Amino acid sequence: MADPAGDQPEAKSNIKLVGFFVVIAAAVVALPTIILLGLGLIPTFVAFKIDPYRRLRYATRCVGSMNLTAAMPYVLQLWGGRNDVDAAFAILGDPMSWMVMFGGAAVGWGFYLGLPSVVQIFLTMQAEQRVIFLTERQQKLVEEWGEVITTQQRPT
Amino acid sequence: MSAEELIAGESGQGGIEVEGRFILFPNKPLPELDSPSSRAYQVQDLQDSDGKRPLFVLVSDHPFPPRLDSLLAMRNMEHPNLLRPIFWQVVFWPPLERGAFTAIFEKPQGGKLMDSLTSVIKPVHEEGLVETYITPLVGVLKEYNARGLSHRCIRPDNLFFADKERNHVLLGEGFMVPPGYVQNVMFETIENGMCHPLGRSTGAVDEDFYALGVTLLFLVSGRAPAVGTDDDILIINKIEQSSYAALARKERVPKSVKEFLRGVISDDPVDSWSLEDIAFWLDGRRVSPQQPVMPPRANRPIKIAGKDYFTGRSLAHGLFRNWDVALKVIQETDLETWAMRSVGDDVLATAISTVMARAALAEGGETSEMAISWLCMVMDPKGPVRYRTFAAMIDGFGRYMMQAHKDEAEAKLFTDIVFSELPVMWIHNRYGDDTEGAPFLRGIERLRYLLKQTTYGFGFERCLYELNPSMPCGSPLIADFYVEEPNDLLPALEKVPPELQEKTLPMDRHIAAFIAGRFKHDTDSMLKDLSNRGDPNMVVLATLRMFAVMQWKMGPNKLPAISQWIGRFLGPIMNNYHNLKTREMIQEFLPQMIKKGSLVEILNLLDDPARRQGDANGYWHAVDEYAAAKVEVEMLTMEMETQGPRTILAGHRISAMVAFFIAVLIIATMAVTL
Repeated sequence: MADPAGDQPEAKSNIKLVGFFVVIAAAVVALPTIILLGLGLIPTFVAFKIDPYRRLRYATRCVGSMNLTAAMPYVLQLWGGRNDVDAAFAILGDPMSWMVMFGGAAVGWGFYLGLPSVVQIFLTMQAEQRVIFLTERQQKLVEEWGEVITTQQRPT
Repeated sequence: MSAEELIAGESGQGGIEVEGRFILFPNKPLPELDSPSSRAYQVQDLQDSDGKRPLFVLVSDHPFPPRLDSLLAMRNMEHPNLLRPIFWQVVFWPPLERGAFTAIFEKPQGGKLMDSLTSVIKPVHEEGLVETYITPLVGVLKEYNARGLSHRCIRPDNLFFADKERNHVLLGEGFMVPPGYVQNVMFETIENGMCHPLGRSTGAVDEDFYALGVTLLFLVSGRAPAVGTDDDILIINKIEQSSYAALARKERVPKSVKEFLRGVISDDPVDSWSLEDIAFWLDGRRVSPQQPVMPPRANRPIKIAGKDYFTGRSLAHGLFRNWDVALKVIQETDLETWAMRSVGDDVLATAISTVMARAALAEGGETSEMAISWLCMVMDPKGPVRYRTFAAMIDGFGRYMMQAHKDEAEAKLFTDIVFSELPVMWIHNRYGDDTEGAPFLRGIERLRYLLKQTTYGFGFERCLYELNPSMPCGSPLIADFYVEEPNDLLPALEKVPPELQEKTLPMDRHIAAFIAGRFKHDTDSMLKDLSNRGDPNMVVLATLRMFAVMQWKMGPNKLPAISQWIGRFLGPIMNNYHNLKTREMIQEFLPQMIKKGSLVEILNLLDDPARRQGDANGYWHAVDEYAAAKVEVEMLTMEMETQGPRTILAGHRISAMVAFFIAVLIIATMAVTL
């Protein structure tokens, strides 16, 4: 029986090999789409490169989702009409399409950079409410049982 | 307030009304009817308006209780020759400024036979002696014997005459003092004469006949037998010559009476006349007077402090009475050889030898004081347990405690004796394996058990009340009230003056032991709490609990003074409740309960188990909740202060999710549209 530990690097290199062939195949089959997305999703690739979350990739997810959404109408246009390299370059030649795709990426960046502040405000408010509730409850306990409970501990 | 003022305050007539029937007059003494233990006073019977039946009251002026067994027997003991009490009660006696036991009697018309033992009377003739004295008094003693009692106060100055002609003799009371306590040594058997007056045995008919014999000897000679003789010398003479010879000396005793007197004034219970012998004699069957069997007498006496002792028994008494030099005498005298050669008693010599060997072993070669006691015991097996100043018969231990409890040194001496081998040795020496000694052995075990425990409700005080059923409570708080029964305790405490209530609880070792010994309910858990010296609140609560149970069982329903007294100490008890609202509620209701005088309600208010449990549970729940809230507040505060990275992370996670869902939604819409 083969050593499973010894099989792992071999399996990984196999996946990479399969992936390479798939990309080559896709490039051959859907070259116009590849060109369109390859250039349209540049902000996503940049986000991927500079994403501070190396594992969870929140920046990439944000920017990528919105960038892809903005690129999708052009991809669908390509798929629904003339699906060749010229058509892809024609779309890319239109500044509006660049503005739309990069604008989508900008919205993604907006989510990524803006939402944490909103969440922070929400969480702070929530914690403050909880602290107020707990303090009032403590005050009631002291009124009912005396100051002694503030220092007393249940014997173990 | 003076005694006169107190007397005047008791009654408009200067008398004290008792039971709505008798008026006792403390300002009208009758010294001619006094006894050594009691003073006599005039009494008026409100039911006898004509004054046909004059009465007098004897007021006990000593600290010891009356004999309960004898007293209770008086209820149904009717004998024409017995001065029987009509009524008895503890009364607050102004001249003494305390409660005193009093007994009311019908005044004997013929007065007392003689005022005191130093009086001289006309000798009574032989025939008159039998008819007027012996026959009636033997009849009274038969009554006592039939009830398993002893009189123990038979002496000439306790004989009265019911008629002015002085033909109808009456035997005076025998219950005002412990058995034999006020008897002169001449009226006591040798062994009882050796004892501390409170350590004398309860005795039986033999002791009573002995005293009767000596009394008759008095009547025959017209003066006290062996008058002027020192007590110790009289005891030695009794031992070495026999009681009869020592007392009768050269008095001319009629021959017929001599037989009777020799029979009753006997030092050996075997030779002593029984009731049957006396009945035969009274029927006229005369027998030759018995010669007493005398103990072996030494050729050469042993001298202690200038006195010669010729017998083992007299030497035992001599050693005890000269305790300071006794050890020296034992060490310097070869007692074994003396007993063997001079006394000629090999058994005694062997016993002495055994004791000396034992003493040497016990003390590593040194003879100790305990050896003196052991020697006394083997030389005088009938004698009392003797050690240093202590001398008591085994059944007199309890009564001796009535004296000893007042003096720390005496109490310690008594305790040391109880825990020593002496009592058990004495019982074995006296009774051997006879079952007669078993109750005494059990009694000593019980004493040791109680004395070992020094907590409240036990110890010396508990023994005192268990062994002396009529002993009043000796607590300094209520000593003046003569509290003999548990149901008198709370009413007495109710009357304690406020100045005594200031600093102390209405509880001390005497009160605790008195309740434990007399109150027939389970008090163990309360006694345990009373002894909790580390927690004064527990002591207060246990006191309240004990008194509340007593009030519930015996009343009275209202005890405002005690409630107020204990109420002063209840402040900290309220703090046992943690809940402030509960405390407020108690503070609101407590004064009402105190005013009401219900200890039961105060206890229920303060010590309701369900409330207490709820309070404890609630308190710990609150403590936990407070602590948990504190931790959470601290955590939240800290989080708010340090929330940047975490909040940003959460924000980025949410933004990624939002972007993803928007993308999916739009792309899906576009796909569907197409």
